[in-house]
Amino acid sequence: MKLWLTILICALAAPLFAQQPVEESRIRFRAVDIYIDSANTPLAAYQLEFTVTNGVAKIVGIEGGAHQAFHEPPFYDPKAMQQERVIIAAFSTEDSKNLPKGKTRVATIHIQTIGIEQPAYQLKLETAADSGGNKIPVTASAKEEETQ
Amino acid sequence: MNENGQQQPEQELDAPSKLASALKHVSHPKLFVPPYVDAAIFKAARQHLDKPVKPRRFRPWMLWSALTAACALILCAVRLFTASGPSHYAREDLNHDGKVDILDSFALARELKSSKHLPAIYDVNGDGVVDERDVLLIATHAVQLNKDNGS
Repeated sequence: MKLWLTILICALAAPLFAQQPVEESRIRFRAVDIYIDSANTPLAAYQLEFTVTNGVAKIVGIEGGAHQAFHEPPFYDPKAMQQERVIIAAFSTEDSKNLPKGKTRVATIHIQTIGIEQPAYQLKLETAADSGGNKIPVTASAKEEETQ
Repeated sequence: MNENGQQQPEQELDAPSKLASALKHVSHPKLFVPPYVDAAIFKAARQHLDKPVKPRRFRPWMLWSALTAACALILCAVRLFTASGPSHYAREDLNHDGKVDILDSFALARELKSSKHLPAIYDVNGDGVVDERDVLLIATHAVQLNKDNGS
């Protein structure tokens, strides 16, 4: 009788000790590369807004771009950390010959996600300019890669 | 007295009896006005009243003056309400495009690179010196999350 009672209690308590589904609680870190394509015009300045639109990720870090002119981290509001929206901007006073042309990575935004849902992003280009400060038409894009 | 110098009969006053009796007892000297004086006054009055009224002449200079004054008023009003002086923009909006963004910071950085002595209007942080700190201040303002970007 005691044996049966022990088995019954163990059976009932088993779910309490069961491990939560790994995927649902998993914390991931992702890096979102931000690219700007200025075609044939040297890019000297840009400003854009990055937003996680479905609320499953938080911004945890921002670093500079690939080209030497934008290698330093861009300007951003520190309040954007642990938030879902940030405005980043940078400029370079280098000569045109030292500025990137075509598609270049200008920044990388690190985000933290929890759960299995894929984060969705929105990029809103606010302005871009050449070395003379004249506004130029450019396109902005983002490419994500999971880092951890 | 009429035109021929004859006295008109006194008319009864339409007034309270007490006032009327008091007025009757007031002594008023009888003044004699010669008939020719009356006639002269009447003649002068008739001549004055019989004058034909001249229609006002149209004067072009009056019209032009009025039009000029009206135009000046309209121009003043338009200038007043669409003023685009420096005070219309935010201090950090150096390129006067109506918003503070990285291009304002970039503009100041380029000016600093080309000239060391910049006018005080670029001293956005008000420390008496135009330098990289002003550039940084504008850039910081440009990327603020809770900003009213209008100037």
